[in-house]
Amino acid sequence: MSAARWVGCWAAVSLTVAACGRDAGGDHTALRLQAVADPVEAKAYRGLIAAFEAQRPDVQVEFIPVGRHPEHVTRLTTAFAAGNAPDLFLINFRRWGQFIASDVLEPVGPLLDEAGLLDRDAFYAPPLDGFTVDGRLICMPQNVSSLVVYWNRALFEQYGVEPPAADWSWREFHDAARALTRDNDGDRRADLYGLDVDASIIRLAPFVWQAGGQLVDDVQQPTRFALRTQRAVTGLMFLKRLKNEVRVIPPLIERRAESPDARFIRGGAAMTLNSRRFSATLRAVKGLDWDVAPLPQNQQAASVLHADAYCLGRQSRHKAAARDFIAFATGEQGQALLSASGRIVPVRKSVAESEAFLDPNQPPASARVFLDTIPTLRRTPNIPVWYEIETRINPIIEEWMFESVAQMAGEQNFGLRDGYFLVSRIEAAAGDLLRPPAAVDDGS
Amino acid sequence: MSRGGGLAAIALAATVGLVMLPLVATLVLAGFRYDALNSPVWIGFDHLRRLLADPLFLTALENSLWLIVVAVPVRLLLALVLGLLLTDRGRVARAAFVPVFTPVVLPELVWAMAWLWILNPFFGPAAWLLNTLEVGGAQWLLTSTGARSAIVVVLGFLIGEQVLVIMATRRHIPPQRYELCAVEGAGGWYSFSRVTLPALWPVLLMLAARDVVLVLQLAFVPSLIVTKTGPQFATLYLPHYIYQNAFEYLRFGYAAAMSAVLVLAVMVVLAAQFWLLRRWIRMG
Repeated sequence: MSAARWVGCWAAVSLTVAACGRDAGGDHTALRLQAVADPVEAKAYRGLIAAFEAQRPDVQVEFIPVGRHPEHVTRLTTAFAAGNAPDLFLINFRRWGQFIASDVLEPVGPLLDEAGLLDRDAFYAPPLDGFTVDGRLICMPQNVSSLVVYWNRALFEQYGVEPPAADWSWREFHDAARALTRDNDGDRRADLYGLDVDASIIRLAPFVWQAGGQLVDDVQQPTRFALRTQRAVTGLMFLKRLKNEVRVIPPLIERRAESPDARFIRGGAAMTLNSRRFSATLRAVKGLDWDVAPLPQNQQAASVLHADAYCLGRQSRHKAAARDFIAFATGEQGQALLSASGRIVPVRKSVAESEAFLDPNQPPASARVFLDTIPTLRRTPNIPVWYEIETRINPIIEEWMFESVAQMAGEQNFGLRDGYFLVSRIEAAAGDLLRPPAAVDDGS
Repeated sequence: MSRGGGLAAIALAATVGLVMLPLVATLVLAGFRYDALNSPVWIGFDHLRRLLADPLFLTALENSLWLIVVAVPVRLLLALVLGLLLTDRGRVARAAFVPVFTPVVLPELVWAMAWLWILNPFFGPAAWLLNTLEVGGAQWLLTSTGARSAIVVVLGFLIGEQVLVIMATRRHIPPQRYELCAVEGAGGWYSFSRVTLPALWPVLLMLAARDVVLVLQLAFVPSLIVTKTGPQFATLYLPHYIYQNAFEYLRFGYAAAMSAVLVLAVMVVLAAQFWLLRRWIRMG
C-alpha cells in the first residue's frame, strides 16, 4: 500500500472516530448517561431525561442502563481506556474511589459553583461529604439513603407484636424478631423468620458503630481495620447471635434457596434490612402491607450512608451541558420526579421534606424515617481499594455468620471469641490493601 | 503462491497477530503498573513477588489446578464412553445424541441458571437425591468439596463436542479390523484395547490437551452464577480472579502477571500430559 493510501486510511479512521463523538442532529448537544438501573429505575431516569430535554431542547441525553455494579464499573473502565467514556455516570460512593485515584473525573462542585448552581445549604451534608476529596466536591450526589428496617405490618399485627418505636433498642428488636419466628406446622423448622438479612460489611457496620466501635482507624485515610475491640466485636456479633442463639434468621441452606428480599416479599420473614432502593421494588408488590423503621439502637443510634452521585468524565466535550443536567437532576423538579418513583431519598432538603417524598398515599407510610436517620449517618472510607476490600471480606462474613458449627473451628464458636475470629479473618483477607497513603502501591 | 499456501499464510498471520503478539504484550505488561487510564509505570518483577504473597491468587491457582486434574479426565472418560455407545447404533443413538449435544449449544447463562435450580440445596432435585440416598444430605452442597464437585458435574455435561469428535474418529476405523477380531474369537475388551483405543489415542490426546484450557473457560460462568466463587473462595478460578483484577480493580499489570503464570501452569500440565501419554503408548 502506498504512503498516500496509508494517510488516507488514517484520515478516514480519524474522521470516523471524530464523527462518533459528534453531537447527533447537528444543533444538538448529545450527552450520554450510564447508571445501574432495573426496569423500574430505568423508567424513572428516562422520565427525568425527558423533563430535562423538554426544558433544554438543545441537549439530547442518551441513557445507558447497566444491570449490576461490577458490569457498570467494567464498562466505565474500558470506556475510559478507549477514550469513549459516557459524559455522565451515576455511581455509589463505595465504588467510585478507583476513578478518583485514576484522575479521570472532572470535579463537578467547582463547575456548579462557577455557574452559581450550587447552594450547599440546600442539600444534606453526609452525601456531599462522601463525594468530597481535598475540599472539592468531585461528584454531585442525588440521594441520601441509609440502612433501615423493613417490617411486615400484617405479620406484626397477626402475632400481636408492637410496631417498632422510633428509638427501639437491640433488646426490643431481638424480642420482636423472636416473637415473629414461628413454626406453624410443628415440623421443627420455622415457617416464618423474624429477620432475614444479607451478611456483609455494609450491613454489619451500623451495629459496630451502635455498640461504640469503629470500622477503621480513620475514615478519611484508613490505615487499618479498628475492629479488634470489645465494642466493635459486640456489634459484629449482634446479628450472628440472633441467628445462632435465638434462631430468628434462616440457616444457610434456606438462605441459599431464597434471598432475604425474596423471603420478605413472600412473607417468609417479618423484617429485613435494606436501603431506600428496596422501597421501589416493594411498591410493585401487590397485597404486601409493609413499612420502614429505623435501625434499633444500642449505645447510640447509627446507620450507614448509601448514596449515588453524578460524576463527569474529564474526557467529556460537553461539560457545560452535563453540568446543567446535573443541576436539573438535583434541582427541585428533577429530585421530585425521581422521588415519585420511590427509588431515592432526595439529597435536596426542600424536596425531601415535601409531599413529593413524604406522599402519604404512597408506601412507606413512615418515609420520614429516612430523613430522621440522616443525622446518625456514618460512612465507609471512599478510598480506591474499598470496593476490593468489600469483595474480599463479604464472602468471609457471610460464611462466618451462616456456616454450620461443624465446619468452624470448635471453641471459636462461642462468645466474643467468635467475633475476634472473624476480625482476624477480615484482617487477613484485606492483607495490605489498607496502608498509609505514602506507602500505597495498589499493585496495578 | 498456491491457494493452500495463501490460506496457511492468513492462518499464520492471524495466529501471530491475534494470539502470539497479545501473549507477548501480556508478558511485557506484567512488568508494568497499569490501570488503563494512566500511562504504564515500569516496576520490574514486583508483580511476581506480590503474587506469591496474595492468598487469593494462591487459592485460585490451587482451585484451577484441582479443576484441571479432576475435570479433564472425568470429561474425557465420559466423552469416550458416550462416543463409543452412540456410534452406529441407529435411531436410538441418534436420538440420544440430542441431549448429549444440546448443553453445548445452549447459552452459558441459561445453562448456569438451570443448574442454579438443580443444585439449590433446599428445593433442587440434587438436594432431594442427596437426601434420599443419605450421602451427606443436601448440606454437602454447601461445603467446599460439594461446590467444587458441583462445578465438575456441570462441566461433565458439556462434552457434546468431544463426543462428536470421538464418534467421527471411531467411524473411520476400518470395520475389517473388528471382523478379524470376531473371526479370531476376541472379546469386546480385546477389541476395544487392541483396535479401538490405539486408533483413538491421537484424538484423545488432542482432546485432553484442549480440555486443559477449555475447562477453565467453561467454569467461568457456572462458578460466577451457581457457586458465586464460594464457599470460602473454593470455586474461585484464575480466569475469574484475573478478570476481577483487570476490569473491576483496574490492575491490568497485575492481571497480566497472573495470566503469565496461568499460561505457564497450563504449559506445565500439557507437557506432563504429553510425557505421560507418550510413555504409555511406548509401553504398549
